[in-house]
Amino acid sequence: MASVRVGVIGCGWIGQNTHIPAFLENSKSKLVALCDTDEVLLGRVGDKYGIQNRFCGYMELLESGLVDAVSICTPTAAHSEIALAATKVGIHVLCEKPLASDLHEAQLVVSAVRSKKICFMVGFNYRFLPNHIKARDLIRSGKIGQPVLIRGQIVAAGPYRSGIKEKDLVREAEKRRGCLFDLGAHIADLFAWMIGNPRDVYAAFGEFAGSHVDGTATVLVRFNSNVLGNIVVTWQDMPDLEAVSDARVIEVIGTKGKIDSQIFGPSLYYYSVDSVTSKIRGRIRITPPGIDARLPDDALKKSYREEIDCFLDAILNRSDPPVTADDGIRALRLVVGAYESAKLGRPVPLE
Amino acid sequence: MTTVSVVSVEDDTIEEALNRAIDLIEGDQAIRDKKMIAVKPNLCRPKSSSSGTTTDPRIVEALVRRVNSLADCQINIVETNNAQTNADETFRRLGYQDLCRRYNNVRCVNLSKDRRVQVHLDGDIFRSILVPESMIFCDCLISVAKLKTHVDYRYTGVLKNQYGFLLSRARRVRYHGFMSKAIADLNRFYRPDLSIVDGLVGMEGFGPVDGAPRRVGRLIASMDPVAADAVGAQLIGIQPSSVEYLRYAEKKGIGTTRGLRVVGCDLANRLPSFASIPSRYLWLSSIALTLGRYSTYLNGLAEVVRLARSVLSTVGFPELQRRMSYIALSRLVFETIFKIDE
Repeated sequence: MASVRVGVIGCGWIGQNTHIPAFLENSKSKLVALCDTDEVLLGRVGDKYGIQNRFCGYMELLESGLVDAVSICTPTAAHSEIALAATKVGIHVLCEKPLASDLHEAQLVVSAVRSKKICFMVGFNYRFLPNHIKARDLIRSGKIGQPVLIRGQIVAAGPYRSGIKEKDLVREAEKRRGCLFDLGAHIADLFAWMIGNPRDVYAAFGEFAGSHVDGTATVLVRFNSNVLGNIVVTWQDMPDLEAVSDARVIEVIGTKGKIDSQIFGPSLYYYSVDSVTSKIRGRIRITPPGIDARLPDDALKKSYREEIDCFLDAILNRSDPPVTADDGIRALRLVVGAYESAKLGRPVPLE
Repeated sequence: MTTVSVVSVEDDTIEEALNRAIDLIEGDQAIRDKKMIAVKPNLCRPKSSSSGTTTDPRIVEALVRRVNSLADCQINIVETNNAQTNADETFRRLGYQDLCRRYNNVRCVNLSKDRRVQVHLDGDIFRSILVPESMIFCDCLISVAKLKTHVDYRYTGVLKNQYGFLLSRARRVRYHGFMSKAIADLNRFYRPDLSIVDGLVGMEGFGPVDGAPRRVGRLIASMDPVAADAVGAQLIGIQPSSVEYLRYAEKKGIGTTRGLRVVGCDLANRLPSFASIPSRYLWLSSIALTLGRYSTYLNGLAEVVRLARSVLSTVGFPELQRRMSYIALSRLVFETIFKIDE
């Protein structure tokens, strides 16, 4: 296979702005088809990118024989259904996070993936941000000593994304199934990727006004290694990237130092009691190479490109993708466990 | 009061002199119990120390032995590639590779080959610099500079030695127009814990590379890099106040040139002044540096245009307005023109 024939299912914001451009730019892929239930949107996006094969139903696309792989960029509720169908017909899948709406659906997907020889990757693109990669390297090489605490915090627009009218905010929030589902899955994955498996979880939620989903969440996590974690997420309409940059962070405190890695990149702050530069300057801000720290979203956009490149490499080399369905279920288990904990009013074990 | 030691040194008394210079300033406290020590000699050209250009490896070896008596640590002798030569080749030709072979815990590190990260200084001229990773993780820096005149700035010693940490060698010349600010920024980041000036053989005239060697027979040591340079300049007949980057570094609080306690040799017995650079050359230097400054600003302006093109083509102006305050936007434009990202 010289290049992978790809179809993108879901032409909303994430599909249009990240997956479609990244597949078009990558020489290892050929974007041949688009799919969306909204015919007008499908026509507009298809015209914009010059994609002629357009489908309103995902089954038609999967059975068309046109694609080797699909990228699922639909709302969360449809992820597992499409992923299962694609897996059954032997098509490689890149599924946006979270893997499914609940654990049962996710387990069905994982079982199906295990029985088929396909490449299945979950879209945790934050893992591909170079500052998070560097943060993980620093933690693993003991540059901050033994980690004792990890905190992940995101203040993000969520349903307030530009283009959503005020009357549609609640519908959009419910489509996203709450802010912990929307944002917490990323943090849950970064936590497990950096620190290891979580053991139990305890959570509290604040409602998104007028809806029955959460708009604010705080989650306490205890890991198998006894490291403690805290996830704090909220949807707020604060677009100024610089003004809220301190509120979008993965902070790891170790016995000999500290890392604050900007959630959306491109930089991390590093402090170590052993470093002469830290002794003089306190914490220093580091940007790994290849990113223009002045361009808004440069790092985030590159993370999608890198994620898609790794997905294509895994298909072409018949190797395991860097983020597997098991990683997807591990993050989902933490998120679902947090909701269960809030309902029961006590910590919930995750294993 | 800041202490600076000045001791006499000859070819056969190097170790004894270095130990005395460190003892006089109680320099052991900077070294004791450290785990990763970086030693930065001045190896700006692959020319021998007897030419007055580079730090004498025998002084560095004496320092290695002193460090080994105080700490169980890794010692990295560090240098970057410069405009004309590769640091690995310079280490080999000047005997530093041989030195490393004699000690299990010493290695020569070509920082230009190290993994690098962008560190945001928000300094007087550098908004950010590229830093070799190993320099972030070391816990002690010892700068072992050479006592020399400088064709543009009259004197060069410890503070200017840290200029060698800049990794983008092609651009280093462009930063010469902002030397005082650049040196201050770099020394705030790479402030040596211990500063030593090799004055066994110095350089006079058209330093730091085309001057003539001059035997001085002195070693200078201090915990304060500015104080070490102030004494070094005085020793060769240059008033510290006439060296612009020294004045600037003092103003920025990196160290002091005043109220110094000089121990060891008496500075009053200094040598006849070094051959200075004729004023017409300093004049030409000044014109070249000024033109270099304006060229950097013009490059910055071109960068603003490139940046605007990138931002507008990816994000679009309405979205940019949503995401950045006008003050942040103005600061970005100002800094892109007047500050440097290495």
